[in-house]
Amino acid sequence: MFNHTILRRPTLRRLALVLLLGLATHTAMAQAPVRPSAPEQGMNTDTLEVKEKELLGQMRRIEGTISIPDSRAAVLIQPDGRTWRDYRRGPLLWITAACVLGTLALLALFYVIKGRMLIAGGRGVATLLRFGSFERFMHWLTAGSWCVLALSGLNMVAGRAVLLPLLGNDAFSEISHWLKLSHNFVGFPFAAGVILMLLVWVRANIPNKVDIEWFRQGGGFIGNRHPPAEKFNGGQKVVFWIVVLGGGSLAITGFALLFPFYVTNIFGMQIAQVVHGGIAVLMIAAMFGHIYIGSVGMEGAIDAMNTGNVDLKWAKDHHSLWVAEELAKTGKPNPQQPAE
Amino acid sequence: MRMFLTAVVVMVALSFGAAAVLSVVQQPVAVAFATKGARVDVGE
Amino acid sequence: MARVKFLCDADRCIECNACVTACKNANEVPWGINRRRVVTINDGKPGERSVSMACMHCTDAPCAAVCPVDCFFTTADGVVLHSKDLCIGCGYCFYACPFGAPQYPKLGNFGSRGKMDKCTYCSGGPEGADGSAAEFAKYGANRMAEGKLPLCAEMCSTKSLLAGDGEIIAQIYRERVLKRGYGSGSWGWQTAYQETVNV
Repeated sequence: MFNHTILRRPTLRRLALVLLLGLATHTAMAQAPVRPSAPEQGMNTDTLEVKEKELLGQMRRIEGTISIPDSRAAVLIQPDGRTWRDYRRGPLLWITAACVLGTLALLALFYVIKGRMLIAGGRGVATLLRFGSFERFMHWLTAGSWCVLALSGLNMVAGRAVLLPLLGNDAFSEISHWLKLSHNFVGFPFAAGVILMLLVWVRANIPNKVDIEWFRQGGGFIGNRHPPAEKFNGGQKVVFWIVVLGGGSLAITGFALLFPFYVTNIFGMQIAQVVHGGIAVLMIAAMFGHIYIGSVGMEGAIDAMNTGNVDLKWAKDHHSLWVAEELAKTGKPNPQQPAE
Repeated sequence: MRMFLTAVVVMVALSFGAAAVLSVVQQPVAVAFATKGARVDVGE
Repeated sequence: MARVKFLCDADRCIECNACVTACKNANEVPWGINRRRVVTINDGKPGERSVSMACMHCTDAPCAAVCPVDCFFTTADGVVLHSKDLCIGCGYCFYACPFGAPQYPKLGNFGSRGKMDKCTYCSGGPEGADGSAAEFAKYGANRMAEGKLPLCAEMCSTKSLLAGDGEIIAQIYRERVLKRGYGSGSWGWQTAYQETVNV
């Protein structure tokens, strides 16, 4: 069939290909090691046969043809799994431990040194609407999904080392089964949340000169100065891009793994898992920081995602340019926090 | 808080929705790899 | 106890697929799952060889190493078995396996792919209850408990596929290669057992 196609369309390119293939076959045959030959019985198969050792040396995997309907079974040997196995058993575990425990330890240390960052002079009465209900909805859609995914993902990586000895095989398997199911399907709302956040918040998150100045002044973490910032300060813009780019690549690699062979073969899936796991634990570390500063780390920060209305004094401290812009638009802040 | 609860409800709904859609799309291997015209016993 | 292995002498395999059929019949494997398969390398070209491949029951098996729920067991004979009660169908073994042995009853996505299935070296399941109907329905035949070798190798018409004590089948292969003067290698051995049959 192959020859037939070539004969019908004898373009130069195809001819060159045939020549090249011919040459390659010729060289391969010429390179076959010569061993004491078999008793002369017609054709000498010795110099023609394909050898496993040589094939494994030449290519990443040995593939042939197969007569059963499952054409993927035509891959005979693919030793790449060993590299993936080493990553999954070694570096991934250590990166995970470092990211999870290391970040928690750093945050605890930061809390001990710096303490809760309070609103200077206490809360005021006036508030300002920072995030509308849809903004809060998409934030929590992503955040809620992320928590489920992070926990179930950590269980896939480290559950066998940490939980299995505590729970025993049966209980741990049952829990892991449900966590795996949730990981697979909660991936969809997570991806939806990331896409919504990208669409709604991308304009406010494009880095500019204000952010450079914000970072130069230490983002308000050093001393008690509050550098000017727009709706999102430099740090928040970093968090936004971590979520959009990190979350996006997690979604892409995750869906590639969820639908085997639709996107890539087994080698591709090994790569996807390496990327997925690596980015996920880095993102877990970043999100720990985000959660800390949004809750216990700073007084008044949680309001933005709880009711959406933030203390005006807090807003003036942390997002001075945004407050000025909002007040110019509406004229006055809310006199008091309205019932939601 | 209300938006948080809404988000959780939507998250669960979307997850189950995805699971339901995928379970319809998904084929048992017996069907996927059957020869054309073969009678297939799908029971596991 | 002996360390059992598979060895496919590709210079003898005629791609008759009897091992595939025997396996399906002996274990009543669900339709669409092939615990054993025959792959032909260089089909139709000089040097063509066919290799019958299934789970090789690796030494320090990658599937067992990567399994997140640790559902794999190695028997005293060196056979790698897995518990379908513990398996969560995540697909990790399927990423790690060099031989494409792990398979799942449903295609499309891992969310509900079902429990993994693979060759058991005709040793049934890891839960005991040797030869029971429940074991057969879940894992297939337990010929080893009856003192018999896997059916694929037992009924290979050219005695290409060998099963049994690794040292003995390696010796048989070595003698064959010496006598006929050539051999394409013990396919999969380097990858599965980190050793090969030197002639």
